[in-house]
Amino acid sequence: MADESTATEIHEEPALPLIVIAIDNACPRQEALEEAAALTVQLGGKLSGVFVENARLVRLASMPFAAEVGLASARARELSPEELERSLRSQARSAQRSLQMTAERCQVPWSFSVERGSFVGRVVGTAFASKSRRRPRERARADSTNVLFIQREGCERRSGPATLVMDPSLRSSQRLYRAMDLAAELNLRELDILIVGEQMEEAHRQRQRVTAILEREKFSGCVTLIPPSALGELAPYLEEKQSATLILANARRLLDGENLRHIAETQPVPLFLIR
Amino acid sequence: MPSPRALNSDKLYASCPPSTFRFKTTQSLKEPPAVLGQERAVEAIRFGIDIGRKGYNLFAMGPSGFAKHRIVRRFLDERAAKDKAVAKELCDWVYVFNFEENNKPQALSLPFGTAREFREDVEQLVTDLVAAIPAAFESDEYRAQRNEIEQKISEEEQSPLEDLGERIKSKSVALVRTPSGLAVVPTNKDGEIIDPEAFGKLSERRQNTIANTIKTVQAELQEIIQQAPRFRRQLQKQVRDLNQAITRGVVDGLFADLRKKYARQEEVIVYLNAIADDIVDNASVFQHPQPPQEGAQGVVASQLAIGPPPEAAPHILARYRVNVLIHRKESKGRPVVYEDNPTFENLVGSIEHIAEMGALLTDFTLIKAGALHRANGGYLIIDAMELLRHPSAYDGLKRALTTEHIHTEPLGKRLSLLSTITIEPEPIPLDVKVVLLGDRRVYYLLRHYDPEFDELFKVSADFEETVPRDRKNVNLFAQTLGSICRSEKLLPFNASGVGRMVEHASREAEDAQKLSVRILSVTDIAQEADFLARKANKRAIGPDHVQAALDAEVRRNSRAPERMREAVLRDTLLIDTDGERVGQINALAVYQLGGHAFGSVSRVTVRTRQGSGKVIDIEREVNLGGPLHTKGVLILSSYLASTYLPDHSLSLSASIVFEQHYSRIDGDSASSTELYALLSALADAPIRQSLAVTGSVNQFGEVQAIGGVNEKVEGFFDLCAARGLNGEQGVLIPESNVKHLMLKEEIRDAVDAGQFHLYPVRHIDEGIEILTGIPGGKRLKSGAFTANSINARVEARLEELRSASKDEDKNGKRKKKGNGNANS
Repeated sequence: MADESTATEIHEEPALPLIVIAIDNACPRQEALEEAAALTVQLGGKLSGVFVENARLVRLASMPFAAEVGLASARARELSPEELERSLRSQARSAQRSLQMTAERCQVPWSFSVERGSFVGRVVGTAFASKSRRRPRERARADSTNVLFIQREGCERRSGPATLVMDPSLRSSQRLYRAMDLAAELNLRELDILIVGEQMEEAHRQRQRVTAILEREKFSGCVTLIPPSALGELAPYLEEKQSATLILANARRLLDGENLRHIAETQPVPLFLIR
Repeated sequence: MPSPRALNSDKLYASCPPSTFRFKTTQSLKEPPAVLGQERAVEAIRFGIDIGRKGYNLFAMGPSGFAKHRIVRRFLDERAAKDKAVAKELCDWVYVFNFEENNKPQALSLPFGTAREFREDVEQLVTDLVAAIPAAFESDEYRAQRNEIEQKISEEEQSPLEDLGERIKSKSVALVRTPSGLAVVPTNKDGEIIDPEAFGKLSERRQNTIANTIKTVQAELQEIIQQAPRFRRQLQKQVRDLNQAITRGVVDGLFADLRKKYARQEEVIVYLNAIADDIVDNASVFQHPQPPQEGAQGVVASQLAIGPPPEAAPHILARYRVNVLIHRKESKGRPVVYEDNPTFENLVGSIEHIAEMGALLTDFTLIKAGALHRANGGYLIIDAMELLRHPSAYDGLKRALTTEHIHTEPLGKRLSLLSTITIEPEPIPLDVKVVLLGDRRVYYLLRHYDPEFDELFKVSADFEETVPRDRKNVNLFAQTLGSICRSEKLLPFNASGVGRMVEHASREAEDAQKLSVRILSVTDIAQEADFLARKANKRAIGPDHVQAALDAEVRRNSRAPERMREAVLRDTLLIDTDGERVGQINALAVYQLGGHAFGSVSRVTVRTRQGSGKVIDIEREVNLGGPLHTKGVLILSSYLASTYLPDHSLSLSASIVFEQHYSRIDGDSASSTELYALLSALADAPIRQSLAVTGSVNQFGEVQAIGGVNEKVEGFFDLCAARGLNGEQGVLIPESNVKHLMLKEEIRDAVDAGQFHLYPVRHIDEGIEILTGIPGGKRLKSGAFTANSINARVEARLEELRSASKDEDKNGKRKKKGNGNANS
């Protein structure tokens, strides 16, 4: 089923590289916006925001038992398609304002669009600068995610696994689900996970947590603990592994701008940063 | 014809020849060993300064111009300098933020001369903390510990949600994120959300089952989400505890040196601990600090704030400032402070306010020291009149002395006029000796009207205005003059010049046997004489320069006397200076205009007639006569009644008036003059108009001393000289005033030439003889007065009036009787 864009507001004609921040149906994280703007400055590109409305969620609101439990109030209220639409539009406007303020402060050109469909489907499709031809198979997720990526044409479809770099925090482990969705959207069931940590105890705990999730979600792959200094060799590592994609889960700060630029320039694979 | 009793010129002036002195100029004289004529005051000052008891403050009283301030200051400086060692024990004072009661700034005492260092230490400490605390929060140790806390709490928080997500998978429902919460949706076996269409295709039973499941899960979800605040609180608490622990580590390290440095100051240590605790309590503020802002807004805002929001960071930092109130520099002894503008605020200190957005704000950094703070531990000199002139200043000073603490508060608050939020600084202990300077009137008024005054100012130093003109004091006067020349950088006086100054000091004292010690006047003349001597290229000030300076001063002030004299010379004011008139006499008065006194002549006339024995004072009748003048007239009435016809009541009516006198008149110095005119009128004996009279009289006819004798004599002399001296003119003065004579040179010369005369008079009988040329007369054994004497003529006239009155009474009674008979 083809998804359709409901609104598009382009202020600058995009030119490569285009740093995209994809925002799901929750409010954007300011940290993610700051990071996207910083990345745009580093790579000399342009910043684009994409607010993805979950079309299926809108349709679900028409079900008789559809209700939402507020995270702030813990109160349940019935959902109607109209209310949900209004709420999504409101959040889209809020997201646009936030992006605009951040971009203008960082003095980077920017654009913003609202699209409807599957979040991972839009992300992967946009990342490859192409429309998705397959029906997205997105699992229901209770968490909210922002994904940053560099849009490019001519990405290679490598045969290797999806390489995921993450820090030992709990938040990273929660981002693992979104990484698995992205990998699944890319038809990859194998993950090569690199946990970057200085404290081994913490890293070991993360490995246990990640391994359990992989098993539960029926993903294969290996989990490796590496020191931060090893990230300097990430580009040749991806080359050697023939990684189909690189996903950074809450690990942006582990990679300096120069390293990230090098990977982006030398590795013709999609690069996702999950916040 | 001159009277044989007229004074010789040597009685008119006490000269001070240069041979009195053994020096050529005052340059060779040493500093005076004592304060001229102020032994009593100096003794009181020394006593007041030395006694270290509460309430023994000093009031130095005396007229202005007697160098009270200079003398007091000199003794205080000497005394203060002796206490150099003690002065080192005096404290510096600072105000700091009170962490327990924010609106009551805390006063801290610090060792001598360390207040600024303490402020710099605290400023440096805060600067170091601002740098060190964020660094500690950036450390891997902190990050790891914080991650661990967050991870732990997050796991605890997420765990029920994840468990729920896992448990409901088998029930074909799942949780999804909605714009503002979570929703429970139906899923297929792969965990993907199913469309409403697909859901509709399910059997009704299945749909109901899913719908019920969703409701159950929603309820469970609500319960889980309700637990979220608890986890957030836990997280906040644990993160806060961690932040405080990290901050405490940094703070303890940085405070260690200061705690060691100020270990002996217990109060300072308590304050440093309070800062440390406050910094730890507000650890989050230091994670992203900003420089403290100027002015009041910082602390005020922090006082009003319930908790420290992120934007309050600069306000929090402003709390750690140190307001140096008193910082003592190198010790020259105890402080001696003269407050020339003793307003309430200038004495007890002030709390300044800053207007911001229409509100007045303040904090402890805006507390300013007052004179009491600066003089604490030493001495404070204040002019009493200035103190009383400013609202509440005297009350503020008394409160400080009574409580022995300095209470700094806005005057508006004290008067209940201030409605803005303000602060109440902690009172500072006070140990000060206050010296008030003022005239006697102020001193006695305060003693009379303020019952607390005696308790607070137990010592009074009464400054003398004159000293005996003996050899010792004359020499001391010369040394004092030399000292003034040195301090004021004037030419020295030669011996003749000093002699002339001594003579002038006697004239100032209005006594040939005394010296005025009014240093201000001496200094003024010395400066003016110095100016003239330098103009004449002289190396020393001589008598001519002194005289020229005095003459110039008289000229500068001579407008009023000249105008009055002119009015007499043009016969606008009728004053005779030759010839004879019955019942008319020249009286003398003194006018005081500013600092200059001069004498003037008035005509007094008396008319008599038959009456009931009353002497009418016309001045009193029209309310121009003061009480002393009235008293004089009543005394002369009494003299008249008791001297003449003592066994009978007088049948006299007399009226006395100061002719052409249109302003208020007071004093009894003209009472003898009025009596002479009355006797002249009764005796029909003309009075010589070439003479003028001054002196009061008592009930026995004795002539008594009056003030301003020199000015009065000179006033009449100037008038006579202007008309031309005729050898007959002169003045009758009380004999007891002869010792006060210090008359100018022209009069002395005129007396020597027989052109002017001064008659000392002890009794009315003597005076009337000089004035009329007829003896006063004594009452003989026969009961009658000496034949043809004034007294005999007066008594005869009074008897005449009495007889006439008696006859009138008889006739009147007959008439009444006759009338009565006719009526009957």
